[in-house]
Amino acid sequence: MKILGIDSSTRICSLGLIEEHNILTEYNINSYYQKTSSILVPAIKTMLEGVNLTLAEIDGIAVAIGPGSFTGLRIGLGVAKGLCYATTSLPLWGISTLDALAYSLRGVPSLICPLLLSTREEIFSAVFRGGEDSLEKIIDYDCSDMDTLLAKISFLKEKIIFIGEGLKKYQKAIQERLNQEALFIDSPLAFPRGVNIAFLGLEKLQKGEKEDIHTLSPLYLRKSQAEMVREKKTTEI
Amino acid sequence: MSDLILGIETSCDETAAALVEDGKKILANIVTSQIKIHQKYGGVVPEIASRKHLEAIIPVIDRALYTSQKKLEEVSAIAVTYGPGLVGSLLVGLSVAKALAFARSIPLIGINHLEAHIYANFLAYEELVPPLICLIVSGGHTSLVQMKDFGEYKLLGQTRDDAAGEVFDKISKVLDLGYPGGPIIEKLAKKGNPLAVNFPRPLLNNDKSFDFSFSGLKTAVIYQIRKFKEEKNVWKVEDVLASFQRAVIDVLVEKTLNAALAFKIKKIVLAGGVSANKLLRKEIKERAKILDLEVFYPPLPLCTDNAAMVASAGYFRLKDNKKSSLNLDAVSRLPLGRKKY
Amino acid sequence: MNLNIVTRDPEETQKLGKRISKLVVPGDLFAFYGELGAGKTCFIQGVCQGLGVRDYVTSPSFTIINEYKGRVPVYHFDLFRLNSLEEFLDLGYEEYFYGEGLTVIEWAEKVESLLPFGHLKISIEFFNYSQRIIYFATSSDRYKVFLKELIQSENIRD
Ligand SMILES: Nc1ncnc2c1ncn2[C@@H]1O[C@H](COP(=O)(O)OP(=O)(O)O)[C@@H](O)[C@H]1O
Ligand SMILES: [Mg+2]
Repeated sequence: MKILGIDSSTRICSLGLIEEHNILTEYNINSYYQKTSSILVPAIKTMLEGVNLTLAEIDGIAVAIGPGSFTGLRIGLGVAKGLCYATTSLPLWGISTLDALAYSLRGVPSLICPLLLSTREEIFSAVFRGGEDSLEKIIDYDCSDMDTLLAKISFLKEKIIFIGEGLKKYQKAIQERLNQEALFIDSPLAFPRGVNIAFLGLEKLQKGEKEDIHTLSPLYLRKSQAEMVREKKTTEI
Repeated sequence: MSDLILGIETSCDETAAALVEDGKKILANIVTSQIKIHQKYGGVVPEIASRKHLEAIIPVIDRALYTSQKKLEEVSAIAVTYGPGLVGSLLVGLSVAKALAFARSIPLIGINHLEAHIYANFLAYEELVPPLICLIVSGGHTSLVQMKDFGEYKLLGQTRDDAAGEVFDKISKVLDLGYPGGPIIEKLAKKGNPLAVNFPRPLLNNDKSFDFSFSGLKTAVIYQIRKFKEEKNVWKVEDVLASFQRAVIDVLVEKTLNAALAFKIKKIVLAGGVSANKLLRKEIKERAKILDLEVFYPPLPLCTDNAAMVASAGYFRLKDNKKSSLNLDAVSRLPLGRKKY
Repeated sequence: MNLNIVTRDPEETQKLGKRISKLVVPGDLFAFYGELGAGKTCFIQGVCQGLGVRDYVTSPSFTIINEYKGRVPVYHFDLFRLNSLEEFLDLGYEEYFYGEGLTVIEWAEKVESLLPFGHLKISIEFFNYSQRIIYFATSSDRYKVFLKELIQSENIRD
């Protein structure tokens, strides 16, 4: 089974093509050099050509549905829907970017908290319990400030791994606030990769799941209005 | 063999898809108007527009194919609006269009929204050919364009501030009449006296250029309404609206006819949402007749945003063997006529 | 700090905008207030002229954002049609507000809570048909300096 994974929710546009448990090819490009809106379809074309495959030889497409940049997500979803519509038999799966990020730590028996940090101090998060061969979501996707997130996590009282690019600057604040042991992975590799999206798509395929391409939409997550107002006040003092 | 073009349009309010054969024959023209949602907000709301486009785009394309009894396999090219418009909205249509073109290995043709509006006329009039003087007026645009040949345009003038349709919307908002302002004001103006208030005719008397300016008129109307209210005199909102509408139409008609005379072009086409205004149609037709000029305007459903006009423009572009690359990006400000296309 | 100036015609308003443009540095943000027809776009046209923008500076009500090239890039927002903050958040506005150009916003009250601390408020009111009262206000040091320089430059009554 060959699956194409697409993520365009962050400034890195990431594509991956897998076959069962192997990566066939991977493509990442920073939108600073090529805007995602221009590069996405040509990149898919180039990537497929690189491994001598055509769309018709693929068994499905997995696409990121967020949380992340709304415009980015809509580009990815638009392209994925178009590809699946044109290739009638091609199934489509929507994958959360936070699941994809946590997937990097698959097999690690610990609590895992993937974080996606946006420019406006918005933090997208979720908490998973990692098992030998599973990732179970125990706190749902949210968009909040760090305080709100830590308040929820501090109840768990178990060792937890935070993963996300750019989370270094929160490390001290997190450590001071939590009573449990916390590990931090802040690496340039900690973004929702296309291959991870593809692997999660494969799981859905094996479970026999499939989205309706007519209705699949992004996860539109954002901070509550109350939080935005609160934050504004603290910066003005 | 005939050429079947799938047109896609998501530049503003409407999610639209259409199938057009050989640039002239409309097989399906589907428009999911989002006006209902926007009415609540008194205008187009970008975030909501992009959301709705993504939800509607595949169903609309699907419906267009179903209505025309065609399969995607029979389509020879995809034509899509890539500007001007709201970037977030344009990107939805553009992303889907690129994916379809790539998956089917057929040409992608990016179309300027303003150019598409002109092509609404070619859909309606079998024999119509350039050269033409085109007046494109809508909520976001007011442009006067010389179409020398298919695909060859010269921008003669455009608005320096507010677009004509935008002023209709703004006046409507000031008076709490609703959205979109154009049809509402047109209806009320029928019951008013267009000579009641003598509003300024901006850039009419002392300017040789073909540019427009409507902000002064906007301010004059708003100021007049305020004065009437303060003076507590008896006044009729219909009179103000009729006088306002007449001022806009006078400017549009005068400039357009002047352009036709200046460039010695016999045919004039109207395009865009505001060209649905019946008084505008009547006025320009009557005055053009005296000057021995001919005026064309599209049937009402083709005045407002639709994808049939995009498909038609795409067909002529394809005949000219001009295709777009798959890295085409959406552009918010895209004047017509700076270069070829 | 506050400053009021009365202009007697659109040209004066544009001139004022032009004068202010001389003080602009990348990253500046001007928030405009005032009803339809007050002269927000008119003022901004003056600012853009002063920055050497060649393009027509038109009302961006339709596309919400216009970008112009000048001595510094100008990001011209018009939020007339916007009705809630929510709708604004996804326009990628951070890149503009915290970017390398001058951001000017018509109907800034609609995104008041998102405006960065350092900004200059410019509010335009009808005095009569052709006169406008233009109020400047700021609580940030950068723009206090800015306003002082403006007062010192020719011809301005405090
Ligand atoms: N003193 C003045 N300053 C600015 N504009 C003025 C003045 N007097 C008259 N006007 C007119 O008011 C109108 C302002 O329109 P515009 O700038 O589009 O307003 P806004 O952007 O606030 O809706 C212009 O037509 C301008 O000519
Ligand atoms: Mg304005």
